[in-house]
Amino acid sequence: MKLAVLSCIHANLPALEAVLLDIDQHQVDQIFCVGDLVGYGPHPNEVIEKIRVLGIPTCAGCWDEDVVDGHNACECSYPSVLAEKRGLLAHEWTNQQVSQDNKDWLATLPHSLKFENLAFVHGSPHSAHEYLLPGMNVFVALERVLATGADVLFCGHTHVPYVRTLHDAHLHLKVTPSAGDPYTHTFTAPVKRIVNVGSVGEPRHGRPNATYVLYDSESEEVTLREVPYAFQRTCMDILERGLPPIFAWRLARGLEYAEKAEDPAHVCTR
Amino acid sequence: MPPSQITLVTGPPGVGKTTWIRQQLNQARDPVVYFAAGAGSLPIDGMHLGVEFPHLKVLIEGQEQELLGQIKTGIPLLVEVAFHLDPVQMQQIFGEFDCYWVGITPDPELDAETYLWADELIPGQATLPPLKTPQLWRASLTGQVWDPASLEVFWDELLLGAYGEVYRAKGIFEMPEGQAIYGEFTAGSRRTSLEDFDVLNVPRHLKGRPQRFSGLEILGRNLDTGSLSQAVQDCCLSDAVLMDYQRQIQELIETGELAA
Repeated sequence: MKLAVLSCIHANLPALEAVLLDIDQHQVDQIFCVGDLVGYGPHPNEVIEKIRVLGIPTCAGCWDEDVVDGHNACECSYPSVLAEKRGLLAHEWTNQQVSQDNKDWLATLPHSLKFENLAFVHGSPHSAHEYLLPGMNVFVALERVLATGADVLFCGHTHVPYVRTLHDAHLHLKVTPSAGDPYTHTFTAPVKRIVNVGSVGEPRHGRPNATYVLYDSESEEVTLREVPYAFQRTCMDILERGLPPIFAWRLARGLEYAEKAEDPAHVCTR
Repeated sequence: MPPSQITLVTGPPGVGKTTWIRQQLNQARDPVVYFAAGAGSLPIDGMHLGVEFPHLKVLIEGQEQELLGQIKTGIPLLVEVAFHLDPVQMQQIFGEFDCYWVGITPDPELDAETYLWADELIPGQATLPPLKTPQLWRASLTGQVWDPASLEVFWDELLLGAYGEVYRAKGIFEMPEGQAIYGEFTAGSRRTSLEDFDVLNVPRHLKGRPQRFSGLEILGRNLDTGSLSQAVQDCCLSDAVLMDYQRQIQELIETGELAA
């Protein structure tokens, strides 16, 4: 079975349309989306409606949650005061724009999705705000996959795609109870993978191209797709709809609207 | 030092006027007065030089009376004349004195006619052709303390043209650790980053907002001044965050983990 997994569309309709066109050309059986339909970009309602019409199974991203529940991004999500102020401004703009009907639909999105031996989350199984960075401590990373009960965990949130394979996990524990004899416990896990699918609408690889992932469940092959699109259209709409011009400038350079946390050792404790 | 008591130096932005002045000051042992003509009330170079050379007295625009008083004492005077000032304008202040004019240009042979009035023409840094319709944007930022990560993003955006075409940028920025740093950029030369900035030799300021001068000056074209002001504002720390930072730095100094 061939799957396409998308994330972090961030209200960028031309990017989403280009990716859907690319998916059409790859005979995909099923599309999944791991959230962040809105935030920073100029087309929040259009993107939500497109995903709704196509009936794409979607889990809630941190931006989708924040539009429903109110701004809740932890300070650690932002690497600078400037990024935080820009993020807040984008949140307020999006909150005003998204229709009540679309907000109600966002509120129905689950935190995670399961399909066969695959799991889908936005940030991590614990929180849509948590980053699973490629250099994250290997035990923490393994725990996050095990928490889902799946073999492959698809996520987004960092906007930088990667595949991390965790082989030969073997844990040997010696337990000394307060009463009774000490005993040992061993644990082994089969191969587990984390697949970050990048970002459709807010890439961060120095080029404005949209990224998403194709997954073949039989061969277990992951293909990262990079799709050019008319980002100038999105930039024009950013300016015309009253978002800060710097968002357009950064998007055109593949720099993201506001940068996100980069410290792989950091695990949000909230 | 040049042969006259009053030396005026001029040349295009980024050519090396301040660098030349620094060379003169390195040789001077006695007090010298520095006056930046055309810098307005934003003495970025003056503050930078004043910190580096304790025997330098820095005067800014508006202090012309004091300047004349200093001349009468016979103290050597170095005047940095901004590119946008016509040397003739300097006559109003220095007309009655014997002045020595130094022109700095990327190509003294090519520019000899333009600098006919100069007593000495010195080769400087290569610069891009001067902007046809330059725009000068200045922000006095005294009291503002920058979030370092935000300054890094902002400086990068600025130099890459996010707020318009930048020909020259320089500034003094207060940091939460209580230090002040100086950074600059000239179009055509290497793009600078925070790692290139100089830490000024001033005492650490860790009690509230620093009252010593800091500011930013940008020479360019089509500058989006609204977005610039907003970005600068968004990069600076609130009272609460600044107090929290300063408390943490104080603790590190008290425990000896950070030098005072």
